[in-house]
Amino acid sequence: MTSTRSSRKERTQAQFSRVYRWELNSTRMLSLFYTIATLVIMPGTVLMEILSNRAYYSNMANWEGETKEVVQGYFINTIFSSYNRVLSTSMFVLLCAFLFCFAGKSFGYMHTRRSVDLFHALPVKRAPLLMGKYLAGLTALILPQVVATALCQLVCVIYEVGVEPVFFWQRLGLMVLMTVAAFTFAMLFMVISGTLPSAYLSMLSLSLGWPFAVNVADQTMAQFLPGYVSVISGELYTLFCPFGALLQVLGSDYTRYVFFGSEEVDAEQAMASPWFIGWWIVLSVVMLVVALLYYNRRKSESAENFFSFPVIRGLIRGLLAMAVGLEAGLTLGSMLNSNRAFLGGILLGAMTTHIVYQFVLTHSFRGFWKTIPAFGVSMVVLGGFLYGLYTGGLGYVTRLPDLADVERVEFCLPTTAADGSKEGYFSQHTGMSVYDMREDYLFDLDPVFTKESDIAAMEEFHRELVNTRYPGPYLPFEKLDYSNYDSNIRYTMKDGSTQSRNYWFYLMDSDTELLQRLAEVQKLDTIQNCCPFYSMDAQYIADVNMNDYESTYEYNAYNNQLTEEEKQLVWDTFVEELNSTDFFYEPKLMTEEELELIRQRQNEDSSMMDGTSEDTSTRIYYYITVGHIPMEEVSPELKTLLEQKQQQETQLFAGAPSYMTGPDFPIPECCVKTRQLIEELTEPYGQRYDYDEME
Amino acid sequence: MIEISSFVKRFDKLVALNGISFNIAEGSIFGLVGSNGAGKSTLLRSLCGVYAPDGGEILIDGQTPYENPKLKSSVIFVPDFPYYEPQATLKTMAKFYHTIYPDWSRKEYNRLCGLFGLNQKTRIHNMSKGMQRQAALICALAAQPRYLLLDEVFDGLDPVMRQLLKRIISEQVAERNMTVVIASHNLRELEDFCDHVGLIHEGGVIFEQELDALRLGIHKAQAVFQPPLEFQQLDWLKERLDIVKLEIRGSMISLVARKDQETVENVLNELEPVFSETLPLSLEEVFISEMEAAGYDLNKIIS
Repeated sequence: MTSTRSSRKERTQAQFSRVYRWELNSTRMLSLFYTIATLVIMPGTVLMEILSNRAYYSNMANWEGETKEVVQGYFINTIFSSYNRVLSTSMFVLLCAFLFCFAGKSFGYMHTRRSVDLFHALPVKRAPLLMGKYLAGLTALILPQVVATALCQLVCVIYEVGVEPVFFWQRLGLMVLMTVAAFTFAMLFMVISGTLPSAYLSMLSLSLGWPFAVNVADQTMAQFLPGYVSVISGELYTLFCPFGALLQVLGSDYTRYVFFGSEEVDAEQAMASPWFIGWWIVLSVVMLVVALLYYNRRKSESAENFFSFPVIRGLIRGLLAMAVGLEAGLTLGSMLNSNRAFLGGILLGAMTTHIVYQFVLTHSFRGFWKTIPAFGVSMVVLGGFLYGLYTGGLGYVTRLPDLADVERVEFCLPTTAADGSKEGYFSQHTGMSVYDMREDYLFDLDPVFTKESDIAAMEEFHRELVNTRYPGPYLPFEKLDYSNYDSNIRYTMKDGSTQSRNYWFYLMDSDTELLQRLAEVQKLDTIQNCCPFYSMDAQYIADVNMNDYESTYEYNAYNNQLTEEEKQLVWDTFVEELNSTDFFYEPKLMTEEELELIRQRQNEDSSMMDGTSEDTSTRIYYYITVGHIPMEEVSPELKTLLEQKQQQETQLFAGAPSYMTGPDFPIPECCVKTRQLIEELTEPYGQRYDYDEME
Repeated sequence: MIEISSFVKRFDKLVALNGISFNIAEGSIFGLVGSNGAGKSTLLRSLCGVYAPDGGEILIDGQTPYENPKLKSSVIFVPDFPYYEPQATLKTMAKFYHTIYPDWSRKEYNRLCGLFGLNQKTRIHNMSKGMQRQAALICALAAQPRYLLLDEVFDGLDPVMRQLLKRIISEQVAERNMTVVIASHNLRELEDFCDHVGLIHEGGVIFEQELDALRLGIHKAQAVFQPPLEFQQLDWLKERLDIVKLEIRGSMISLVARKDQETVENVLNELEPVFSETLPLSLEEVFISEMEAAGYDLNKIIS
């Protein structure tokens, strides 16, 4: 028994070996071109960059005040920037082009009857035949990459450029992974297709159709669901598009990682997430297994029949029909602000796509009526999706977390204040942007609630908002669906998960209950911990400025050369007025009349909906602009918030926070002395425009 | 030995072969005759394991050919339009066959190249149709198969090459006991080459038989009787001879009978004809007679 198995295994290996050797031999010219091109692009670029920049970077006279190590870092950075650039452009194009060529060369035999007669009559089982060609193709694609990477490393060693080997080899690892994935993807489509054009067309359809479908589904959810926060990542867009994922990998900006090394950037995060790597390993294996299973079941007579497995064709066609239908629906619905137009657009777009795809694939309408049930199925699926959104996205709109589970809440509420108090004022102007030492933006630090009572107040406000404004059912159009108010509430649970909602809503003076809830949220003792005002020192003032404009007139004045004394004077005056009992921050709530105006002008300039711009009491705005606040100088409370926030942020290359910039403090009308002081300290900036005169 | 029993092959709704059954003896040259679309090529592709059966079975030496590399290493199929890679030359194709087929013989390859006189370094795509076919045959024969399946192999070959090919195949059959199945719609081409024939029509085998037995077992005769034969005499004639076809024109009768020449002559002589002549049938005539006897119009079957 064992002997038979062993013998069978040996025979299979021998069959595989024969096919593998032959395939390598028959693709040798293609391999040669690919190898030469790869060597020119990869080590060629590194060599040219070294030769053209070595003299400049080795002459320390060009780098006064810099250490040799720093200059060496700049040199390496220059080389790697070029290397990354060619990887994401030339190498990507080259790899895709040759990958298609190799796939066509290796698996194209399945698609013509004459070649099938030859290959399927050979004394080789299907599995070793397919695997022999598959592995030969991969060898031809990957081996030059390995050699080219080794040469890159060698060139750096020869010219004594201190490169971390991980740079080249990690890129190679990802490139190999995505080459395997893309080639397996191509092989699968070759197996399931009856002709070469239909294989390429299907690959293209899925590669473009999937990200398009994801994008349009995201748009649709945002259009239907109040509070919707997109959860779609770049990885989801390329979930079934290995070519897109390859570009994602090769096209990423690694420069920061290279320059700052592993001290500041987690190497694994820098290259690609473990999820990404794991997904493509698993998907490649799944595609390989499916290709083998399908190939074993594939009928030889499928050649020249467009598709050997029509189910896959139906799935791709259905995906495209749904995606284009949704996009057409959104476009038409948006143009006419009508839900009926939305539904009509869906049907029109989907049916057109279905017909066009079918015709392009089969070059005729023969058998078209047989595809109508499949179209019906895709419409039912789409209908189910839309019905789910219509009824609130499976509770998405009304879902609020259990209070006991919430650890903290970050929020950014409407710029229209709840009342005229200091709390209302501060809650609007606490958003701080955090940057790293290279002045790259990292994230915003919004106010955070951690006390149970504050979290409860926020949830009450949130619940009131959902219940009063968004009771459902939910439709994408024919509603007052936009406003200038961008608000966000983000709950972080004790298990680390988050629930985030974005709202675009307006506040009206008749919204007494909602305003009351908002006022309860905005309490001074809860706001002050995350407001830069409380860690502000006059020295952080960058400038004071004022502007005076209306539609036909503009005047700007500012001063960014304030002395320490002037800064202190401005700040003290402002704080004094802020703390006085007369302080009143002018909230601008919407009136019924204004709302009616908005309804009338819904398709006109959205600025009409901005309560501030409609404020006719004054058109002069005064600001104190906060400059850079170094990390080491922020308050301990803010530091704690920063650390928490940083843990949440898992962006690639998220560097260490270096400084933060505070908001521009608008000076309310009641702060007369501060305004007067700003007027005295500023000088006109640029030209005073009178547009009427100009016309 | 090839055993085909109740074999069915479908392409979607089209039934290409509908439960055909017959055997092909080892060492024979079997001619598969039928019109275009009759199912000849489908049967050959099924024999060499390209097509999987949809019913029934094909056994070659007791094994099914589909996904059976060991068996397929001794079966070679030369299709009506052989496939070559775009840059292929006879030399590269020989290398390919040498890599894949364990019994491939360089000596035989060189001999065949000499006989056919093809340039081994010329791109096969630049060759004429006949030369491309010769290239395929050289590779196939050099692999020394035990079963050679040929589809419309004589198309495009000039008469000299046809005779050469027939001679080479006959030699290999004699030397190695090779079995050859050759599909064609040209009956005359097979007449002097095959020892067995089978007629396929609309997915079924109308008949298959050894060619000599077929030829010896059926004869045509013409005879003149004075006075003309009466009905009782004709009935007597029909009883004695297994008549496939009978025509009466006044005193002359023409008939085709499934009997050997001597029997036909003896039976006719018993009726004392003024004149009689008995002749063997050409393969085409045999087919016409058999087909007509079976109720088919051969003109519609063999184009």
